Amino acid sequence: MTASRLATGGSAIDRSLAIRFSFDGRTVNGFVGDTIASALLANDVAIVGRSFKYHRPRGIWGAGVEEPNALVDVGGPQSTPNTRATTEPARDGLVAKSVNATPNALADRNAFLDRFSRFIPAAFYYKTFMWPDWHMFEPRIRAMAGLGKVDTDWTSPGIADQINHHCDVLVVGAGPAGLAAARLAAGAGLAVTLVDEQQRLGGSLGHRACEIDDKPAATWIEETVAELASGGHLILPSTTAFGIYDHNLVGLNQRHFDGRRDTLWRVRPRQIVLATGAIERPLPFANNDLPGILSADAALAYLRRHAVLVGRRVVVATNNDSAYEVAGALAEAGAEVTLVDIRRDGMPATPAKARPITGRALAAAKGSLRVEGVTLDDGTRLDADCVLVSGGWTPTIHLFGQAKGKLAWSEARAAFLPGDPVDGISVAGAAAGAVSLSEVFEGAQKAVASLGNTKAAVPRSTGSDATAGLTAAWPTPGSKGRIWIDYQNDVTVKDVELAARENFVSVEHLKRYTTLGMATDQGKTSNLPGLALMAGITGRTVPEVGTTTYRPPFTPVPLASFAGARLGELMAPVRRLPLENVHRAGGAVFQEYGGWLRPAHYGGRAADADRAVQDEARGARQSVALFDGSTLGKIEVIGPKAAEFVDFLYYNTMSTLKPGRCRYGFMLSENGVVFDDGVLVRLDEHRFVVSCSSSHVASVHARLEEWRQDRFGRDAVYIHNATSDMATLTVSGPNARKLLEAVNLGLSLDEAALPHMAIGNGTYGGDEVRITRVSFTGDRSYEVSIRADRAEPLWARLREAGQSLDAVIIGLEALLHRHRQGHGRHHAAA
Amino acid sequence: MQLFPCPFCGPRDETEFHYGGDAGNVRPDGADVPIDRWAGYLYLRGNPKGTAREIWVHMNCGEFFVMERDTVTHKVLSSTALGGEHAA
Repeated sequence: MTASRLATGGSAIDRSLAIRFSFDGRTVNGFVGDTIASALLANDVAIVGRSFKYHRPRGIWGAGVEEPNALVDVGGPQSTPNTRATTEPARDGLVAKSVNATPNALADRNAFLDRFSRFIPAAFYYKTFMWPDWHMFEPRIRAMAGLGKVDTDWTSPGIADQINHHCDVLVVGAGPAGLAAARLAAGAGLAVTLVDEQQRLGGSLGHRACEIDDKPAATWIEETVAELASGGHLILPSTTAFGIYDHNLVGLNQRHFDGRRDTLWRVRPRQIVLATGAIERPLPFANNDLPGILSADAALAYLRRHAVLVGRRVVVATNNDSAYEVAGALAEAGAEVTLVDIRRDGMPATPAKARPITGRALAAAKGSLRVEGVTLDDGTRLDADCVLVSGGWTPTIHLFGQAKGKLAWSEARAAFLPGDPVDGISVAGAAAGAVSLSEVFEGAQKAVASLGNTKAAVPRSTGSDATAGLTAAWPTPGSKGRIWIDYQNDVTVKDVELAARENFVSVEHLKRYTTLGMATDQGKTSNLPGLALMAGITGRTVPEVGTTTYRPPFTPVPLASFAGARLGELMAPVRRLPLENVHRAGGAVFQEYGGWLRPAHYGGRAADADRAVQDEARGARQSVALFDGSTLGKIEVIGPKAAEFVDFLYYNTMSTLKPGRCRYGFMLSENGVVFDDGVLVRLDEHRFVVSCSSSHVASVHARLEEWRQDRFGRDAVYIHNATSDMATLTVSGPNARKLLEAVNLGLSLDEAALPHMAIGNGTYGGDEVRITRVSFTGDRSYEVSIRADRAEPLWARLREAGQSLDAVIIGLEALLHRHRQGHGRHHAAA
Repeated sequence: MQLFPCPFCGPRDETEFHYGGDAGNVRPDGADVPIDRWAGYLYLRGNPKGTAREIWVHMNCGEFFVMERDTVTHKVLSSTALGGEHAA
C-alpha cells in the first residue's frame, strides 16, 4: 500500500489547520478534521497494530465504529486504552501507541507466535494449560495476548455529568434516514432529539454521491440541521446510543473534545427511531487480514472526506453493487483499479478507467507485512498495493436486538433485518435493509407516520439511486489457507470448523469456544460471516443457526460515565451527627459505624488510641461521661391502634407499658430470628417511640411502614421517623445525676419522680427536652433529647457543668469496650 | 431500567423501589396454625413465569403497593395502593 494525501478535496479536513501527533514514536502530520486513522493512512502507515493472539501485523480496515484492527492507546490527560483510531479525532500533540505489540507494531518481538499458529487453535488454552494449574501459566499468557494497557499513573480529569432527558422522539443516527425522520417528526410538532456517534452529521451522505430535493447532499444536510436547531430540537453529535434497556430507556454517551469527561444521558423517549445504518462485511479469502486490505466503503470515505487515496494499484473485490462507486472514484482520483466481481451478470456498468474481471472471487492475498497482490480463484495473479473488499452490508440492528426485537432473515440482503415491531421502536434506512435513497426516505416516513400528521415534506432522491445486486459470498468449509473471520480475536475458518467438529454448534457455544465476536468490536464485521459458516458446516440455514444475544454497550463506554458523581464519599454517603463540628473541635477521631460517622474517641493519636479509649472508659466508671447518642433510632408510632401495633411488632407484650415508662424488647423477623432490639418508650396512651439500633433505623422504619400499610391500615397507626429531628445527649456514671441537676432542666430527678426506665419532660433554653432513664453502661444514665438544631448550647452547658466533676466525653469505642469487659446491661443499640 | 408506577408519585425508575414479596401471601394468625401452613407462608413462592402479583415499596415516599407485572416481558399491568385491609 502506498497511500497518500491528494492535493485537493476532503470535505472533513481543514487544510489551513495543520496538526502533528506521534504514533509509536513516529511523527504523523495531519489536518484538523482527520481521525487518527485517516492521518495514519495519509502518512502511509500500513501497520497500526498486532492481532490479539497470533501477533499478526494489522492495518486499518474501516472508517468507523466497526474497526476491528486499528486500536490505539491514547496517552496524555485524556488517556484512553483501546481507542478506535477510526473514530478518534487527531489532535495536535496527541500521543498514540499501538496495542499488543512490543516494542511497536512494526517490529513486534512476539510476531514469531504466528508461525506456531497451527498448534494454537481455538480452545488450545483450555486443553493444554490444565496441569498442574492454569494459574501457573496465566500471567505469561496474559502478557503475550491482549490489547491496550491502562495507564496506572492516570488521574481523573473530573466527574462525568449524567443527564436525564425526556423527549417525544429520539432519532438514533443522523444519516439520510435519521435526518429525514427527525425533520418529519419535528414537522408533526414533536420534540425531537437527534444523536449521531460521528462529529459530522450526515452518515453515508458524507461520502456517497447523491442529490436530495435537487440539492447536493451537503446542502440538504446543512438546511435540515439548521431547521431542527432553530425549531429548538436537541442535536447531539459525537454521541453514541450504546444501549436500550427495559421500558425503552436509551443510554447515550456523549464525547467532548475540550478536556471534559464524557456525559451520560438517560433518555426516555415516547418513540425511538433507529436509523443506525449498516456495516460493510469482509470477503473470505486466505490472508484477508493483511494490512492494506480495507473495507471498500471506508476507502471511499477516506477519499472524499479526508482526501486520502489508500493505494496506487488497487484491486476492488465485491459481491454487490456498492463497490462500483468506490472503484470509479478511486480510478478517477488516479489509482489503477481492477474490479473483481464474483457475479457473472446483472452488474452495473463498469466505471470508466477501471478494469473489470467478472465471475471471479479472490482466493488469497499475498504479502508478508502488507498486501502485495492477490490470487483469483482461477489462479490469476494480480499485483496490488491495496485491496478493497465489499462482502455486502450488515444492518446495524444491535439496539433493536437489545430491545428483544425479533430478527427476520432476508435472503435478498443476506442479512438479518428487524422483524416483528417492538412497542415504541421503529427502524428506518439501511438498518431496515433499505438500499436506495428513495427507499430510505420512504422508510423514514413510515417510521414516524404513526406519530401524527407532519407539515414537513418527505425528501426526494433526485440523483441516481443505489442498487443492492447482492450475491452472498460466505466463508465455506474446507477452504484453503487461513481465512480470518474475527480479525480482533484471531478467529479463522478453521477455528469455526474445529468448534463444529467438537460439537460446539450452537451459536452461543460457538461464540464462547472460539471467542468469535467477543472482542471489543463485538463482532460488528465478523458475527454474520461466522454464523453463515457454521450454517454451511452443519447443513443448516443462517436463521436456523440464529444470532447470539445482543447486549449493551454497542461500543465501549467509559466506566466513568456510569459512575458519574458516585465517587469517593459520594459512592456511599455517611450519615452525620448534628454536633459533628463541635466534636471535631473537641478533638474527636471519627470512624464509620453502620453508616454513621461518629466519634470513636477523643484526643490521642492513632498510635495510642487504645490508651484514650481506656481513659474514657475509666472516667465514665469513676465519675460521669458525656456521650452523643443522637444516632439512636427514634421512630414514633402514633394512633388509635398504636398499642396493638407495638404488641404485634415486638416479641414481648408492650401494651401493658404505662405512659411515661420504657421497656426493653426485641423484634423477630418472620422466620423467628432476632431482627432488632431496644427500648420502647410510651409517651402517652396512643404514642410510642421505638428506639432501635443506629444502623437499623431505615430497615426498622420500613418494617413498621409495611405492617402499617399492609395490615393495620393508614388511619389506625401513623409512623414518623424522628431520628434526625432530635439530638440525644447521654449522661452516664455515678455522678450523672449530680451533673444533670447542675444544668437544671426544670424537672425533679428524684428516684420517685424519675425512676429507672421512666421518662421525664423538662425544658432547656425554652425548648422541650425529653429525659429517658435507661442505661447503656450499667451505671445511672440519662438520655437527654432535644431539637437537633438546639443541641449545641445544651452540649456546651453539660460540658461546662461537668468540669468540676472531672466529666469525660466518650466515643463509641469506650462504649463498645464495656461489652468486651462484660459490664453493663445488654443493649445492642450502641 | 424499568419504570414502575408508584400510586403516590407516578412513574419512577426501578432503582427507587424495593421488592416486598408475593401479594396474597397472608400471614397466618393464632396459635393453632399447622406447621405446613407456616412453612408455606415463610418459604414457598410461586415464582410465576408471566403475570405476577407482587408487593413493592417506593423507597422515596414509603408507599407499599400491589403491582401486577409480566416477569417475561417486564410489562407493568397495574399498580394499586394497599387498602386498610391486608392485601389479599
